[in-house]
Amino acid sequence: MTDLLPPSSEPAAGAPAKASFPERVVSRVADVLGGRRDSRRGFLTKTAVVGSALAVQPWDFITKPASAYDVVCGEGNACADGWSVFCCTINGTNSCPPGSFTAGWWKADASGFCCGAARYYIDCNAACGSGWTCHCNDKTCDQRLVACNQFRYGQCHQEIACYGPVVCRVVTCTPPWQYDHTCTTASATDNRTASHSAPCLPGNCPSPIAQLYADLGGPGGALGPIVQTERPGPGSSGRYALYARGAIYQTGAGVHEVHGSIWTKYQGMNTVHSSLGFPKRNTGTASDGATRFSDFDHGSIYATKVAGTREVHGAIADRWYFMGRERSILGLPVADTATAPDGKGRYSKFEGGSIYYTAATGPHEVCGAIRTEWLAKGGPTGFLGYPITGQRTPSDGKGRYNDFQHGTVYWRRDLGAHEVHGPIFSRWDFIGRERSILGYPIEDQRPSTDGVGTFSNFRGGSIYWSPATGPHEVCGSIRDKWTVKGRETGFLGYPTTGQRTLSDGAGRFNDFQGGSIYWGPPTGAFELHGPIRSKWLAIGGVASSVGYPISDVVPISGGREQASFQSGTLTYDPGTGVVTVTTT
Amino acid sequence: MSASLSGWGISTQLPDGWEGRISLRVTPTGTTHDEAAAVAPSGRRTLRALAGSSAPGAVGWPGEIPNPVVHLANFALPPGRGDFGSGATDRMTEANALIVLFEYGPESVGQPLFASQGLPHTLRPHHFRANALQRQIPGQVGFQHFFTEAGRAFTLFVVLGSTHHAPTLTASCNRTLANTRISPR
Repeated sequence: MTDLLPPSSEPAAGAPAKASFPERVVSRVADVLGGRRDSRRGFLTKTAVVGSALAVQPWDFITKPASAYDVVCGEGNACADGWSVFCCTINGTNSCPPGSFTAGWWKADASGFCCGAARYYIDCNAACGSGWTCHCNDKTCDQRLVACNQFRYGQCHQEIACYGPVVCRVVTCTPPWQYDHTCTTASATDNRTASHSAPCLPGNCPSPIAQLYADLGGPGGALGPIVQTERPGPGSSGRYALYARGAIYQTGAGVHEVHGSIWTKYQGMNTVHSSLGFPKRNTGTASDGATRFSDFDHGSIYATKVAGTREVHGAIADRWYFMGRERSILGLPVADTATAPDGKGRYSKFEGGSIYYTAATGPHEVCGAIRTEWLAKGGPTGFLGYPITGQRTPSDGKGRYNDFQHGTVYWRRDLGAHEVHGPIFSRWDFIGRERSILGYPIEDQRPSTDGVGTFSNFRGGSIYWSPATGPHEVCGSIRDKWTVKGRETGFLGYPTTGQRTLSDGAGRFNDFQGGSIYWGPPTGAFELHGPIRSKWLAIGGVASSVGYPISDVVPISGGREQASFQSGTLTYDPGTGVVTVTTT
Repeated sequence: MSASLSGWGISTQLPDGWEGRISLRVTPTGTTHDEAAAVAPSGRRTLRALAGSSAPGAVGWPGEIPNPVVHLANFALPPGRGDFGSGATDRMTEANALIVLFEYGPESVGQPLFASQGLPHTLRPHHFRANALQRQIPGQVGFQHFFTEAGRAFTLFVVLGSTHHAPTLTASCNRTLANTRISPR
């Protein structure tokens, strides 16, 4: 019982705290009950009992002659009264004993036990086949029934349809749906139970920290016995208390506990002085039903089955929260938030990917095959740099992509993941990415055969880049013709324009360093170069009397060159330097 | 003279000598539990707070959702009887019966606990047990059943004053239950 007392109630040596009226009453009555030569422990025990009495029946206790123990268990504390016993009486801790489960709850309004707020009673019903048998408790004044009342309030663990009698009752000032997340918020009230109590429960309006400690089971609960009593700080705000297996902090965000491996991790990070800050919710269970976690001002700690206890904080944590935490594509953290190899950014690894962050780029997730491709290209220190978007879905809904500082990685199930970067990415981005004539990349960007430039192949064409020409796309039949002519190592060299539309609005062409390739719907793609190309353009190109080319420039007799067109030929004689136009 | 009763999609025709209430408690509003804890002083509060007349959370914390509760009885229902009637059962005589219909939120629909369909109205004396009570009172017997009707989740809790009168009381309860209708919300 002494352990359940809020530590702040202990008189500090030499400087007693100013007591409230109920505290003074309790202390005075305890003095009377126990005499002035009692030990300090005896004093505290009696004070606790009196505190309970004061909470149960404050006015009666103060004004009527009766011992504190007569009223500490409240009304209906005899076995014959038919009510169910409190769990702490039979279990040593204010929690459901083995073989039982939280099955439902009700409240008593305006309870002194909870400082005037509602007090909640949570029934622990026997699990089917658990072997609990009905009997009266015979210890302390809480001699109520154990495992006798086959009744269920029904708001908790509604997935369990088979249940036995109420083994015992947990009592909290914390709403049941916060105490146990299987409990619904469907309210039930029974003020007849308002005075019910037990010596093992906290009495008169404990401090918020002591109240939460009791709600969590007290010394027999998850936190274990007190090892450092409640006190101000750490830091300049709030209060805290330390326990064998955790701590409770009271801040402007409320009163919250940390325990178990999460507490060990938090301690290792220097608790509130760490990048996590103060806890801002009690340890909860993740959506997988197995992983425990605690949220802090600036992050979270997850105790995972697979990867141990891991923390995630800062902007990376914010991004992960936004995505849906462990329910997102990322899943649970598998490593602590760490500094990136370049020392500029941070990252956290999760089951399904990573989130990378720099102040310049913000936090963005990279997952699956895109992440594999990105890391293969050097990750944040590679030529792609840090991600500047999260994983997105392209306009056709078929793939995924991430943009990075200097490029992108696109993935589609049938094409795999491929990067595009630098000037080639800029061009692809300019013409509309996967929505353009080029479509998705089908391989990574690579050096040209001549060792001068680079290129990327896409489903609908290629983009070639060289320092002299810049990036330009070559597509379809024009690209086929350019390939036949040796691409960048042929006489045509690198493209100097992207694919353009001819003046008739139907044809297409690309200019290259050594000529052009023209494509028309009725004719196909043919290359023109040199004086023949110049002459054809001079007479009007496709709008001229000869129309579209229907052959490449080819050598003919006498060292001459000739190209055939829909309605004629153009013949170049190097000997005279003249191009002759013949129409048919 | 029989009376009818309806509210929140529940209606019933009461037999002679029965009375009933269909009620919905106040929904808690205002300061949350966490907010209250955050601003609470480190020590105790005042005795006035113990009285609880206007303390934050006095009737529960925001988030708590009251649902309709039906009490039907062949005796005078006292005020302050609690949702499952603990304040009424200790006033029951051997010839009295109390029927409680307690509704849960829509999130409960489809849960295994509420797999049974329809409000029972063919109870038999042997369905009642001396231990099937929220609070055991000598002589009294109880029956509890979770079910879904009209897309709404309920528990039915019936208390009879004695096994001796169980045949008569069960028949009376069945008539009352047969005249009770639950509509979709």
